[in-house]
Amino acid sequence: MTSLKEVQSKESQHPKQGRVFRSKKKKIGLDGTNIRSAKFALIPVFVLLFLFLGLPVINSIQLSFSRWGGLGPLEPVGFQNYTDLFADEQMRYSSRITVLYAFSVAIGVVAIATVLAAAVSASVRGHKIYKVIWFFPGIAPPTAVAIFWSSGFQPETGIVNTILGKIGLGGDHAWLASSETALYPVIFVGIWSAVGFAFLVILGAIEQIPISVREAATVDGANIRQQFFKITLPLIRPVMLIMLTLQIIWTFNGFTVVWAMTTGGPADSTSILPILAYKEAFRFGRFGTAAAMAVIAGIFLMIIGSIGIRLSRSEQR
Amino acid sequence: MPRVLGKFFSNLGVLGWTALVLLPFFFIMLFGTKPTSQIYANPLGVIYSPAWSNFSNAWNAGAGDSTMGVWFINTFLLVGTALVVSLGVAVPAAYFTIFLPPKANRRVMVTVLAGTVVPAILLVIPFFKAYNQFGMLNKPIAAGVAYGVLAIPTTFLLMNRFFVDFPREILEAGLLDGLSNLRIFRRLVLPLSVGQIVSVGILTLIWAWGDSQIAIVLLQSQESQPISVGMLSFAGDFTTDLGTTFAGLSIAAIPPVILYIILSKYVTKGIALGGISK
Amino acid sequence: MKKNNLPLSTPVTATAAVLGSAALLLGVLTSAPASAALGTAPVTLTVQYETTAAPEEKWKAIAKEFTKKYPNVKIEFSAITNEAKGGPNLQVLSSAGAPDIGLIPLNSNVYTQLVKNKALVPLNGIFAADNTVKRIGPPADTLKQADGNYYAAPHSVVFYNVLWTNPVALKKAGVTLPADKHLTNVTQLIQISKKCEKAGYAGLAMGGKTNFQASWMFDAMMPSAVSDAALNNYINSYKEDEKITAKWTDVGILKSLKALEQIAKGGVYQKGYLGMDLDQATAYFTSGKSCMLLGGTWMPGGAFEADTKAGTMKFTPGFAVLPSVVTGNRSTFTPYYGDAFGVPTKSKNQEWALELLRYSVSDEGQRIGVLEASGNFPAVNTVPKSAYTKIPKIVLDVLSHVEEYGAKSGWTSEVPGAYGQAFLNPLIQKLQEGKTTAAQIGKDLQAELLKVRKNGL
Repeated sequence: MTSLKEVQSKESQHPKQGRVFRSKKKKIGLDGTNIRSAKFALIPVFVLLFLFLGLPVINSIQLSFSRWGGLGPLEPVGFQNYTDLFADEQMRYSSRITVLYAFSVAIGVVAIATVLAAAVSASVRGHKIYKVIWFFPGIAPPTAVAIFWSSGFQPETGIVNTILGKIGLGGDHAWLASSETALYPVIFVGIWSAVGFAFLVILGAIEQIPISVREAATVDGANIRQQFFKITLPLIRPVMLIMLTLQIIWTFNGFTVVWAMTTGGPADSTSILPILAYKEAFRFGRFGTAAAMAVIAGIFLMIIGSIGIRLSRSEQR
Repeated sequence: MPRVLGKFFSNLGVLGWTALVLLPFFFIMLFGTKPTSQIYANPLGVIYSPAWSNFSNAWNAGAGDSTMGVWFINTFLLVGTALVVSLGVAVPAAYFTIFLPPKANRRVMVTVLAGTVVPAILLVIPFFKAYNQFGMLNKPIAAGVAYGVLAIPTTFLLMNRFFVDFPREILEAGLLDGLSNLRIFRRLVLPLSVGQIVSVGILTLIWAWGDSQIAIVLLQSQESQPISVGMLSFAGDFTTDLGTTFAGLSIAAIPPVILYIILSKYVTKGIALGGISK
Repeated sequence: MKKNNLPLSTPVTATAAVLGSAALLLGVLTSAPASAALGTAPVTLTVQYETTAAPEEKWKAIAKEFTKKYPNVKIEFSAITNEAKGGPNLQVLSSAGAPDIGLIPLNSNVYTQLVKNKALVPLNGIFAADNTVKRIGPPADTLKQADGNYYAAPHSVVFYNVLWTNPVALKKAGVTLPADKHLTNVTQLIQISKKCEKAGYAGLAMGGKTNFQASWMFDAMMPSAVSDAALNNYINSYKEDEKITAKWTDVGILKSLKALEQIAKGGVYQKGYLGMDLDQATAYFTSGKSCMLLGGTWMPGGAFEADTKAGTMKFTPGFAVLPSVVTGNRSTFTPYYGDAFGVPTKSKNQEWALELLRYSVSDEGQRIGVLEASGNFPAVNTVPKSAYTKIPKIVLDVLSHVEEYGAKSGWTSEVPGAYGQAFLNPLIQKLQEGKTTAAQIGKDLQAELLKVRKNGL
């Protein structure tokens, strides 16, 4: 994944020693043996990346133009898989909800993380503890997390419903059981488990705002809210954008939480693209169409990714 | 007055979120130690005599050679391999890359960066085909190699950032002492990079520990599965025995959390530095 | 009826009648020692089984006896999940690390592809020996492939679509079930559920989230609305060389689908059923929250026994049969013998694997493994009834009921999943939610049928 640091480092507020060193770098950089070591050290990187990323992508594309049941030779079918998919209602539905799911989670995550980071950075008390605790949901294996929540959302027996019942909000909500509502608990869990990470990233960005800038604002009489909207937010916007982009990509690719909570159901209402592709390949034995789904999803993600990166870059300039 | 109010709401938000984060863990452990009959009778009650047998039931559950203990071993094998591969390959490469001339450097960066945007969904089926062809399915270590390689781009980028900022004086001092480049790397650079390596490694660890998308495909037979995949079938094995199910969830969820608490200093630093694990 | 696909619809009573006499004769034959040509060199066999308790017990018991006979053989096990057995298992069975005996659900893509790509060792020897074809009965005909070979051996039979009942709840609700256990029509089922609801119970618990339960009931009720010939055609017409004589848009199908819709709309199922898997639904029933559970004959010896031991199940269940779609007809329980076993061509010990597989379908293997260890019914009809000692009483009652009223093949258990279960199940879920109509599903199925015939599976 794109390194935030990569982008951050280009930010002016990021005091960089790197630039100073770059001039010195030449001195060692000219050292021929180090260049040779670099080439040597990079060989395994490129070989492995080619084997595990390059070849599979080529293979997926090839597969997407074929029919293959899981065994035996590929049977070329041209664009058949793609035309089938464009005509397929489930594919269109799944694409829609995948986008809905990815954007809802990403926006929710970044919004909550930003608010929390602002709140924590404003009041120093307990600062460190929150940094540790809020990342728990991101640490626990997503499978375990999803199993807990899916049992928690069961009507009557689930703990969420038990608690809602106790406080008078009704204890028999069956969100996961209806294709109208099943996506909401999934979005909730997606947000719940991802906020901790985004929080740390955004808090890191806030903490890099030089104290002098904030003090200046305080002297100017800005209250916490003004300070946040006028000073903090504009300065961390590039990081938020990158975080948003990455979160969209991760959620878009996310398989574990949805699979463990709903296996894509009921009636395929939560079958986001990775799940649809998994089912297409491994339940229906149509690996060609599954690969075509993956290629379409991949193209979409690359577009999202490049838009996100470009936006955050232009923000910085 | 508004300032006080703002403080109040921000504190409320902070405490509310903390509760939302902690409650599930609380309930997982509460139910995990509670006799099943009491979970049904009074789920929220906190006074009960603990049923530790839940844990032994969960630990020994599963058919034949696919108990939680086995899943744990598989997870360790998988994650360990992933770490060895990603750190072993990416750290030296990330270090020596800083000496490349700017043009070559940029080319390396772009290639590696491209590696980070390939979605897993594109990889799963070809992985599966290839692993099958070479008879590598159902081998946690082989699957760990895939995880390791997928973590290389992120590891590389984060480590490279770190090495770019590495104090050159130290390197030059080493050079003056007549150390070879490799020695400088091993004797001077590596010991001073432990913190960064640990925090980058932990990001890989968290990801590989929790992911199931690749493992569910490459590790089909149950006795080869890591905990993230094994848990998927685990919940179904105990129909009404909620206590055991939750004990199982505790066993799966608590070790990484504890490990994290111990190493949290590195993790939070790693992430604040912009570490993004795949 | 050529290629009879109705394993037990041709009255099981007949089979049962033969049972007693034939068993005496055949029982002697089948336990004859195998050829000594296999040698005595040490060999390790790997057997694959699904990760629930019963199949493990089954194979362990068989392995124990087998290794007693052949001390040079060591048997290891490899577990596969319910999720994987019909999908990714294909690659496991065709890989270099394939087990010597693989689990092959007959209604899955795994079976279709393995047969198509000749990745299974023909089992003709097993079927020719020991009178196996006769002992298995009609399912053996289905198993014979177009090339004249057998590639998979059935191992046990279970019945699904059993409505397990909670007599305590029914009594409280003031419900008396018909003496023959057959619910007469859908309205009756809905009324029972209403009464249950008044008494504080859900009507029928089912795991709507699973990838099979929504379409199960179709298997039980559709045969009550179409002729046996039509059912046979629905089961076979996906094959290119079989003529389509029964259409999916025919009235019997529409009636069955409408019945399913009506049941869902009538509030028969527990709240949130589409978000629960079968295990959760089972727990819902055993903990006394519903009057009935849509289940199968493996439950009393499995989940029911475990929950009774754990103290969460506090009643002895009874059973009933799903309502008929057409007045005067009866729905039946549905037999499933589909978790069959085969020997992958990648197996390194094919001869020994075949010998073990042969032993597992012998009367002795079936008695020790299937009947005594797992509490399922044997796949062969020659194990004497006197050996049915470990089967829970209520399951024996279900069997007697089947012997009296027959059991018809379930469509989703017979046809390959990509066209059958995996295709139909989400559609039924949609129907239950009111997102599609019976007529539309009929059209979808018909279109899919033509597509499968044209493109193959």
